[in-house]
Amino acid sequence: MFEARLAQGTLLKKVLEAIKDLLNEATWDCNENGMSLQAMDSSHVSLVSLTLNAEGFEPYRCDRNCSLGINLASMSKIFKCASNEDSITIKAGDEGDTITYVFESPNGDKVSDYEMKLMDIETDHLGIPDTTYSCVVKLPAAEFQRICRDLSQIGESVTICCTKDGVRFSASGDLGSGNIKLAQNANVDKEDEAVTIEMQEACTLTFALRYLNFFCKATPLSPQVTLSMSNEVPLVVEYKIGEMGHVRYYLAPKIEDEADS
Amino acid sequence: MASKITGHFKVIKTSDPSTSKKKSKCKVEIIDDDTPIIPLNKDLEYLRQFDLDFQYGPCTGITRLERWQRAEKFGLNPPVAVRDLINSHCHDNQYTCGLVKTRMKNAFSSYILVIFSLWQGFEI
Repeated sequence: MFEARLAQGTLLKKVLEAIKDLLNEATWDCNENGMSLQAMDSSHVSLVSLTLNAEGFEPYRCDRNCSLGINLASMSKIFKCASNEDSITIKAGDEGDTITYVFESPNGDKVSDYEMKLMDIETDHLGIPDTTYSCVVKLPAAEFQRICRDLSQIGESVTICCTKDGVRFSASGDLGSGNIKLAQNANVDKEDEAVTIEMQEACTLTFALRYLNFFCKATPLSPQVTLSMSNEVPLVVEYKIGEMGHVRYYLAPKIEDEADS
Repeated sequence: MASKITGHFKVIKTSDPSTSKKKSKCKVEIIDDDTPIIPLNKDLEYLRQFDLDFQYGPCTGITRLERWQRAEKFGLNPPVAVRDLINSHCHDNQYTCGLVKTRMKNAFSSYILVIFSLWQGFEI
């Protein structure tokens, strides 16, 4: 028996919006510590890793570990039927092949439940090594979204160059080129609007904007986004999910000479 | 050219839907299958997955270790665990022979081998 109730159901709605365009389907792994999900997009260029801690749910019950294979587009469709104020309960029996979502209005007057079929999904679980990144940039999530969107007008990929002075995003294409430079500004009164850079050594990496735009769907989850980078390793884009977890996106860098090898 | 995330992070576990307890109702079952099902232990299954992984090149006609060494030579970073497994069972055919060799030994014997070598002859 698995049961998890989240009073702030809108958080789950946002989580679904953050991953459903990148992943068609995914396996939710549930255990006593919480729910997690790891999946690659269909082209195997990016990886999504999502964690929701049991403490965030009230109540949370997981009698035995289970893997729930879920079509995320369908789940998102159903979650659209929940109001933002509703609480969301996820239930799955031990033997069943379905999952049930219950949406309750704050005063308990309206209760809706939806049942959905589970799927068998064959997935590879990737080992993500602990890495100390050369550059860790924190910036407002909306700012990052804006940068990715704007540079998508210019080219297909963005080069992120991080130095101690600031971080520069550049793109070039048929119509010309564009650069956006953000300086560090940790001194602003509003924490959410700060741009901070922790740097061991400078790095320059190139990424496909198409994927970054998918990652930016998580913007409503968190005021700040963290970009962790080292040369030649995947970029990590992390959004905190309130106090209860995080969603991390990993994106393999573009490699110039790969076509020759 | 975008590189793949699998080139950076290695697959550590492949989930097998047959072990997950939730199942969809429609599934294909092979009832009449005349090849005996030999249960493989975890290590052998892991080696088999290595055999089936196309990225390390063809697996026919060479031993697992040869294939591993070839992959290494081409800079494909084959999993070290595979080499260690082969080396630690170097006298056990189940571990050293690749997929095709093992299966032939078990199932088809010399008849197939003759046909196979004839076919290879034509190729040359």
